[in-house]
Amino acid sequence: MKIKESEIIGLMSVERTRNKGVQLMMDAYQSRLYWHIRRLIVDHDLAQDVLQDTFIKAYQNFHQFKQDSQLYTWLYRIATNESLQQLNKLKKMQKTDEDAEYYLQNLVAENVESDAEEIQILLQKAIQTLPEKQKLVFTMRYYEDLPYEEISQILDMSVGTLKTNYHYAKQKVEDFLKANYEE
Amino acid sequence: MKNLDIENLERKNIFKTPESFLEEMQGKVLQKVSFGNEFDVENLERKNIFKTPEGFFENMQAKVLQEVQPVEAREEGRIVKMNWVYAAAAAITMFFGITFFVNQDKVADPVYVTENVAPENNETQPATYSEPDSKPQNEEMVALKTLEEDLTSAAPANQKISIKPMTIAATNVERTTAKKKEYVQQNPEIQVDQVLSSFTSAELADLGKNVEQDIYLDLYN
Repeated sequence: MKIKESEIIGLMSVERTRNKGVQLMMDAYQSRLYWHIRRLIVDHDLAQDVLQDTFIKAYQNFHQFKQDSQLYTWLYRIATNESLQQLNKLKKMQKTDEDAEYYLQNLVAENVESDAEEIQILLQKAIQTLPEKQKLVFTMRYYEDLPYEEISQILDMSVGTLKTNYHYAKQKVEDFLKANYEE
Repeated sequence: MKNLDIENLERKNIFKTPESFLEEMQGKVLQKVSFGNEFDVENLERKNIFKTPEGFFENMQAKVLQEVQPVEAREEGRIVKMNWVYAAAAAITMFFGITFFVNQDKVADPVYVTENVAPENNETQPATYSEPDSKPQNEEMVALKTLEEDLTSAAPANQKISIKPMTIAATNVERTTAKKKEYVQQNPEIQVDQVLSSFTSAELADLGKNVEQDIYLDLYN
């Protein structure tokens, strides 16, 4: 992955090869980024739009990428910001935070595969009850197994704060599952 | 079949099994284990359970490349547009430039006249014209003569002589200016006719001898 990342950076840095660079960039990171976005905003069409915008913004603002951080960290940052913007829009459309939470939980039920296990569906619903920061830290740590140092770069939060947020998020998710799961 | 030894048979599983049944079994076991007294979400399998349409990544990539491509195309378009702008600017500049030079020829005469008007205020040389062009001089001489005749017939007897040239000059210049303007507005062919008519036939014959034959003029004749 390291070699590929430097290859992408090399191609993206030259205007003539930038299109090839963005193609390779998409091939390399689209799946990880898509699922990161999808877990946050649930709806597929919206997630696809956000993913698309993420790559377009990465292409257009590549000159702003400082090569002291990893490319995928930078992409995660763009994807996260774009997703949060979408979530804020969605929240504004709802009257209260509870309404937004309820809306997202319904969206989970509508979007899951028909053969999905109940515990997995509940887990996704539980994630939608988390406050924004906890939601971000939990999904990035739990699903993507990103090191705290990298999450810290993406979210501009200290490692200590991230750990605390993850701890609270996990507790909240478990409480939700215990309360809602029927064996 | 006498020599059949089952030891020599290949060990094979020939029973049908549903796909990924082992993963499902693991999930179920972990689920049962997790919901004991010490439930831990960490023990759950990480799964993507959301529905995704087939081939959407290709769709997304195509959209991104489509969005990205027009940026370059737009850049090219802009360059072309700029070229047109430059071309248009150059054309306008050329048009005004040519118009300016064409008009300058026409304006030249009035400027020439106003330059000659300048001495109007100068009493020391009221009616001196030293232009190289003979025609205006001829006209001016005629005008001066006419004016002198008018003045001699209409001027009071006690009129000072010193005033006379200045008045003549001023009036003469006015007339000349009027004539010049008229001259400028005339058709160039008429102007040529006027110039030619000022020459005698002998002078014209002399000039004809000195002029080289224009072969292109012959060609078109």
